[in-house]
Amino acid sequence: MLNVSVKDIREKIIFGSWLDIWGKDFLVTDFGKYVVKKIDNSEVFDRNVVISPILGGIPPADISNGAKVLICINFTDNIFCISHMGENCYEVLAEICRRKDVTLIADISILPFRLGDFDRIHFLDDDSYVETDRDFIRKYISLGGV
Amino acid sequence: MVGKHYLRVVADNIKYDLELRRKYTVLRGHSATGKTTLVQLISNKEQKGVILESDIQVIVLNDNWSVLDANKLANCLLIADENLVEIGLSNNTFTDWMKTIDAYFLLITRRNLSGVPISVKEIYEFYSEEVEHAGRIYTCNMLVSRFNESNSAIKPDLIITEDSKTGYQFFNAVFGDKCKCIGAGGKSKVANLIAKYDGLYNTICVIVDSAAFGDCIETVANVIASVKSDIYVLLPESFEYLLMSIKDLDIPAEVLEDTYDYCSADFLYSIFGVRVSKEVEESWERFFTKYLVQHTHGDKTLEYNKRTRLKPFYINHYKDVLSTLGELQL
Repeated sequence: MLNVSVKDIREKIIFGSWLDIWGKDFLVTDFGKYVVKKIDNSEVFDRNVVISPILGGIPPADISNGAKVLICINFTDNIFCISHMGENCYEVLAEICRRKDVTLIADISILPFRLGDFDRIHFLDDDSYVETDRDFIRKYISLGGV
Repeated sequence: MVGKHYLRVVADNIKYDLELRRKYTVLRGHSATGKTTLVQLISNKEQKGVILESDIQVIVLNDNWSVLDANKLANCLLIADENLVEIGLSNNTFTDWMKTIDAYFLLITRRNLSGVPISVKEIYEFYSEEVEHAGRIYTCNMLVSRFNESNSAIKPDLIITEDSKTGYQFFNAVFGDKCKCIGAGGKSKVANLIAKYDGLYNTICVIVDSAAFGDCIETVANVIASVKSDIYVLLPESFEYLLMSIKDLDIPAEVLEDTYDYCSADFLYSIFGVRVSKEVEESWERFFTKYLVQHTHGDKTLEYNKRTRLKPFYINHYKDVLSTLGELQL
């Protein structure tokens, strides 16, 4: 399930501090390799090296922020912002949400149902559920997100 | 800082060619499309055999941005990656600091930079898509190219203006007997109003100042994507820009057409002999407002002030304004 909060959550991960929660084996798991391939079009060589078709061998720190966030979401229970990932990450995010509960700070710049196969999204602010982008936007606005 | 400037970065498999015309330019879009790579290539240009060409000095900002000498940053291109922008946004210090620096900024971020006057026309989106037999293709487009252009004149049932002052006064005076007009009272309220009136009016026309609407445009676009009414968004640089197009005001065409060369406090002083705050260089919207105010100062029939009643002169010249705006039909 994807849980979103319009209200800011103090415990959220500040962009750039993902290193504090990165596990050294995240990258070499099946999921890590899948995300790096799908989002970055790159191959995981080992836990310290990723092979990029554009940049050659790069360290894990240099994979895309969206890939890093997806991997951290999968392996931890930390809270991120929707804007930490590009639109091309939402398909994978929906896959994760079918396996576990994920909490993100909401952002109206994304239309999640258009981008990923979410059944429904839970707004933590008023414990309500939405099933379409239209309802997502209206709920976001009604909760003071705009 | 004024002018149109360029930045070209070339490496083995990748090339960037950017034109910068205003204080703020934003890069956003899909993950893994090269936004951060641009920053990395510039930061490591000696080591990676990167070719960097620009007519101004290019500086990649890092964590020590707040202690940098502002004088040494003047007239440079300053680049801030996602991480830096995100951390800076957490307490507004970075956005406040940018206002004090006389430089152009290239910001890599998906966040809506509330309080930073970004032009809709200076937001670029990076995309990637899988193309059969060609692999992954990367493109970069202006954000506004996402939106369909209207090929026919718009006859609205409701007009929503961004402001509730002179812009609202104008459109209400010209269109008020033919359709409902509402002033949003600020750009952050536009999306709310569209959602509120959706379904109550068949055709809604929204008029906003594109010169500083960048932080709201995606929100508005997403609201529009979910509504029932036909919604048209008109994006003139600003309402004052429209007024300045009135021929009888005799404003030099180059000020409107090549604003990047004129948007400065020094230029306004050279023309009007009046010192204005450097804040006027934050966005073309502020520049056009200041220019119009100074240009009409002392003339009782033309005097323009955003906060007072709009002079009849402007309403009487509505044809010039609508001609510049283009799509709206009486």
